Amino acid sequence: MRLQKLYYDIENVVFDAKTYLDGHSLHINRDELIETVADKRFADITIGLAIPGESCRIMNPGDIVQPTLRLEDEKATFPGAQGEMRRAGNGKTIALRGVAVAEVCERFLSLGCFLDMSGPGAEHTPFSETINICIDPTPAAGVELNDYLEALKAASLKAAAYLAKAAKDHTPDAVEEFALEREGLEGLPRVAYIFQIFNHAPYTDTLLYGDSGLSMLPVVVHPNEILDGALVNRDYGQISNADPTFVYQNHPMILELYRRHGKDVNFVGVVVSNTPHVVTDKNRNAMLATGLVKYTLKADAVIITKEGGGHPQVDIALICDDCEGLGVKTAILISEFLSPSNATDETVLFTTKNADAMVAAGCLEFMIFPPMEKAIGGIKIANPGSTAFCDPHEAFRHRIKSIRGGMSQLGGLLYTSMKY
Amino acid sequence: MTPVANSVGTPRISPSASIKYPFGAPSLPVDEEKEERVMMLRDALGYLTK
Amino acid sequence: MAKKIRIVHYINQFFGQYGGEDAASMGIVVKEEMVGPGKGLAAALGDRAEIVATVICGDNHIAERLEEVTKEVVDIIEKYKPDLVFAGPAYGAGRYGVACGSVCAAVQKRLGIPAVTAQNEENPGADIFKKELYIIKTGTNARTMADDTKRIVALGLKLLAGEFIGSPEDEGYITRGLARNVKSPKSSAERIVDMLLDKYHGRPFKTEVPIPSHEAVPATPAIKDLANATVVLVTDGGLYPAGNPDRMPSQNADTFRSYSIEGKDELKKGDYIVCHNGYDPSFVLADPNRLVPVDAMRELVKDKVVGKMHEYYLATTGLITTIANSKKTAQAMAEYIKDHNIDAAILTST
Repeated sequence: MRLQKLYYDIENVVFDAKTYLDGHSLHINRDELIETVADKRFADITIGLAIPGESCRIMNPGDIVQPTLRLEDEKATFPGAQGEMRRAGNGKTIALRGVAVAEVCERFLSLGCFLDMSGPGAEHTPFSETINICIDPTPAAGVELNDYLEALKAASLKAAAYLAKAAKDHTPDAVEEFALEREGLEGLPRVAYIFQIFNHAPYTDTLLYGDSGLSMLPVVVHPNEILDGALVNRDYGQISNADPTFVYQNHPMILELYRRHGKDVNFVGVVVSNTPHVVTDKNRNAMLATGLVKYTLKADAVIITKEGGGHPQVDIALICDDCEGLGVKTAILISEFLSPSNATDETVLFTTKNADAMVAAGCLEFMIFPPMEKAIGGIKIANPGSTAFCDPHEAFRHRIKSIRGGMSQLGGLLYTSMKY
Repeated sequence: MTPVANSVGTPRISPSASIKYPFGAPSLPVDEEKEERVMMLRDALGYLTK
Repeated sequence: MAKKIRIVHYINQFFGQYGGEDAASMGIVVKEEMVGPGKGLAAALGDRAEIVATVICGDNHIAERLEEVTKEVVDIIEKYKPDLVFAGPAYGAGRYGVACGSVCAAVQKRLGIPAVTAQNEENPGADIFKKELYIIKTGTNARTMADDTKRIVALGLKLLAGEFIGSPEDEGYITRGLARNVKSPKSSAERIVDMLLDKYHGRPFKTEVPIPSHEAVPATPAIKDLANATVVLVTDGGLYPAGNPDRMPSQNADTFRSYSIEGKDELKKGDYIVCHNGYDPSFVLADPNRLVPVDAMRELVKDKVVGKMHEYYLATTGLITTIANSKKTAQAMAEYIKDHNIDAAILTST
């Protein structure tokens, strides 16, 4: 499997009569984009722009998607979720850099989030550095929440493919090739990656080729499939607990293992694993994920990451114990959820001695966010410390992890937690 | 979450099926679910006598 | 020349050169100059700052009425309009350590300016105030004073300038038991591959997340006669009456509430809501007895398996709850249970 990503660096986005690429400038026909994402479950669609450095706050952003088009099979872009069901991860794929499609959810979500394009909050998220093309639809009357979310999900994926199409027949700014095959890997440790996705309820889940992971069993996929749109985030229930699709398309853990492949690591593959809510299912899931790592991928060592909050830690601990029991060395990447004002020796929910190699992807911390001049999205999000709601034009205190992209457990952020 | 309860040293743990319904069995018809719940609760109370 | 940073320094009778135990009951004395260890501080500060006042107080005087005397001290400090306050070093001296901690904590809280003290890790003052303060770590006696005062000054100036405060090892303060997000030169993806390879190759490595070690909680004595026992139903699954009348939080609760179930054969759908952001509540909303099994308990009382069900259920929200808040809630629940002659509890957790 050989994937070529053709990168186009976008520095400027303007609305125009036609959608096309002019150098590093992306021109968008706004009406055509609205038509592309239109759905009877929407009453009205606004397209907003959030520019890096601008005094702008996106309220209640949902998923964030990188504009992409699978060049040799355009209809199978985001296969299963939006495109036709064919394997991703092979051939040439357009990816626009410096720009993203951001869903703006115009329904109240119990754990809402926000995204600041400047100020202290902007420092914590990579999405303050992309020009965000915001798809902001108001729901049609009487539409159920999940129906609205389904339409919103489809809208961002359609928009991502539509915008990427503008780069067709242009010369890319950079090309990157992803292929696991390499010569002379015999002496290197065989390292697998268990990517534990978060699935809890419909619309608090992750889609693999369009299928909700809710009842999935662990499965081996080629890392290219994930980089090429096979995995789509659909978590609106625990929003910002899991990474947006953009991060899967540029999966930092997979990219790092690719970078090390042939140098100090023999990257043998990815197991996508689940977070069931029933203990028996957790045990089954851990056993099968470990079996794939040990007996199918024949790994010597494995990296385990998770999405989501508390109980997915249990799945990680079960996998860790099972792997170490079979002689596979483990390392775990985790956000420290229990840390605010807490004893720092009690930041995880498990006590297995096998989990002796863990990397902290930051901790739960609060900060004050200043008012912003411009707001995209009309939903005021809940304030965790009070019964009041957060107004984008006012200062408020909130969790850093409630910044969209402010928490990532997939290896991308430079933040770690410092015990002090 | 029995693994969590275990890890914090809880002495009496009666395992439940799911995070979402500690005393539930939603796959059963309502009457049977209640019977099941009575049995689960009886088991849980049993831990208190040991 | 830039305006000099104004500093007030707090010390005890001994370092104020009034004497040891014999002078420990002396009240507050203010000197508008540097005294004792203040000279070391001034040397480290150089031209940037001046000690505008030294507040001297007997250790017994403040220890006996800590809150009241602390307030008096801070009232005095406030008058000098300082930018920064230092206290001590207190080394191993317990009453002095507590006084320094108390003054610094109150200065930060009331005056909103940084305050730094220094003491030994075993000093009770360090234990009480390290969560609130940066306390420079010292030995148990004044032999290392020159170095200690330098570190107090360095940290104080950084706090005043709002600069990044590094790790306890780098800055020389006592670990406060807190965590915060800081930038690392390497991404977590790079760090974890490095760590895994170190582990695989048998090289030394240091986990960034320590594994907690909980001690087993001793079991309470078994109930001898369940048929005559009163049992209360408790949940951390955030089940509250519709409308959430007590405005209980959706996470990290530090309290609980009790709700009457008198005369109810079961908890009816629609009468209750789930205020808890950590699990899909649809199953519990459809039948709240799945979380708080009132219907089943009535049956078991009828069948004389259990003597009585307490006519209130207790509810809290257990989600990303700090250990401290969990303990607080648990202690309050235990008090309630004792006060109401309840013999046992069934607690459901989500």
